[in-house]
Amino acid sequence: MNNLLEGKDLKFSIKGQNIIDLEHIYLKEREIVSLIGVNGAGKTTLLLTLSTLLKPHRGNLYFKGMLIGHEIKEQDYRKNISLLFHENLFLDTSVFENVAIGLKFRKYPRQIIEEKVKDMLKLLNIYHLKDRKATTLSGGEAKRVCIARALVIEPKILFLDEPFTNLDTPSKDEIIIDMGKIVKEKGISLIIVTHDKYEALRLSDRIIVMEKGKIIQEGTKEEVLHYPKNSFVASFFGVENILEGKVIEQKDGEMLVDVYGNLVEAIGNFNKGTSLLLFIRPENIFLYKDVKHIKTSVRNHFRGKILEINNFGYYYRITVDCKFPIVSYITKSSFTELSLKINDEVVIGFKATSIYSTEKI
Amino acid sequence: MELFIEALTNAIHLLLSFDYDTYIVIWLSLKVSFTATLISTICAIPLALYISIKQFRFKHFILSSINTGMAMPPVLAGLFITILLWRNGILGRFNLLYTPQAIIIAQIFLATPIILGISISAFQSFSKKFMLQILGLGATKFQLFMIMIKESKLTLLCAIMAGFGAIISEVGASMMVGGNIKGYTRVLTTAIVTETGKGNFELAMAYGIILLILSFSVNMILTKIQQKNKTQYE
Repeated sequence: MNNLLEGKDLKFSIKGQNIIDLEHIYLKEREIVSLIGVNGAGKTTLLLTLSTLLKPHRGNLYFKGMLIGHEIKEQDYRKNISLLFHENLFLDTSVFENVAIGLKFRKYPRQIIEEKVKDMLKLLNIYHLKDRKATTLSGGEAKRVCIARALVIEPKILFLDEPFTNLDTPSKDEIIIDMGKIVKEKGISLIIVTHDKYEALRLSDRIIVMEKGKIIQEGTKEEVLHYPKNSFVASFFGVENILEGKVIEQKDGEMLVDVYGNLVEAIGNFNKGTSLLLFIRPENIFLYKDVKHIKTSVRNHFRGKILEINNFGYYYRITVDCKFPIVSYITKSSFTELSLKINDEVVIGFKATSIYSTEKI
Repeated sequence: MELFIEALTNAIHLLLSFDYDTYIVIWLSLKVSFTATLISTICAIPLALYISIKQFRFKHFILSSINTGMAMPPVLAGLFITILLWRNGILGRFNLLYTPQAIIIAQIFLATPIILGISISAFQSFSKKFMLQILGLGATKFQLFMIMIKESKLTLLCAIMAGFGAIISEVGASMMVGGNIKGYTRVLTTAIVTETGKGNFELAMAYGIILLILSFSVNMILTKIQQKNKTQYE
């Protein structure tokens, strides 16, 4: 599939400091890409650059293979895109007029504007609000109006900058479902800037992780979730256990790693002496009262003392000190069965295959 | 109180009797002040947009100058324009001094900073993200400017009202550059000064009341438009 949008060698800096500095970024037709990263990673700047609202200091953008600004005018490219910020940014007028604004910019006849706006308002279940002043709407209603305004022009690409921040979970879920249907039906490609891992995992075909203006990892959600390239990516996606160690022995893809003086068996082909980061998801850490209960497939087990217990309703988060801290998630029934208390002596265990290791840079 | 009632009766009589001299003064006042307000508005709004959006050197200095201009004493404006239009002045060859055009120029000089200053603060209240959002929905720069003007219409009307109010009621500049020539450059404010000087308090008061009625009527129309827009979607 050809790239719908492509950026090459993009650089934007302020006072000599690079805000974005990327070799290559692309978006395919009908693809949904999430841009994630901490504040200041350059996500919004990249979004504005890709939408040509910010001129990069270096680099080129291509829409359907055409160089923007040369083979296709910037204004013509912008007729193919739409933008949605986390703020509502309404005009001081009715919902109908707010939604119609993009169509008016494209000089559609009044009758077509009316039809398209009405259809979009119905699709997003806000037709009854059409005559209300947009600035008087509730958070969820206002967000639906923003989405209607962005989608009614049927863009090829929709750029979303943290669109669902400050919405309660039920409203967010409903809006994501409704928006997802329209996006799929109309074949719109999406680039979403988000801080929310669930949003990123739920919506995206591909995830791009940014740090200090650079792409540090990109891939499918499975790749990013299970094979994080560094501790930021790992912790963003909920890998609470990040251990540092050094390879002592490696044979046929099986490694023995020294982790703070403890030996850990892991899978990998790193050479002896290599410094590693070991990522273990908390749901893959088993908790036992005694060693005798450990299954043979669980090759790593360590004794420790419970430091902290957090009740999250349907699961418990247990922090255990085994000379290094380990976090385990256990179900409510397991917690009750084991009758765990702070300072209890326990054994934690994890399989060699549950560890994803990467070289420490 | 008696004098006031007499003046009011006189004013109504002057208006209802279609007194030629009075109507010439009213017509001239309205003509020069409307023309000056219109030209000031046409110049000030695009300039306000430019100043609000663009970043350039000495912007702070220019903004301070505009704010100072908002409180410009009419006599001082009259003095500047008189020097400009004086026979040996830069614009002397156009022979504009003591003409209605000279009053219009002086009033433009007074109204522009007022309309400009208030319009700049209206346009500066738009966040950068708002502008990016509008552009991101496919607007051209011209469409963005039109949206900003439309969104600020209440404040812009307020700016125009303030500009008109300031110039229809000023006397110093009109007197200096217009010369207060009866039937040619005599406007309501200069007529009040002349009649007061002659001791014709009743006529002066009558002109004053007419000036107030005119000013009130124009502002009432503008306020009605302003409030209509405000309540349209409430």
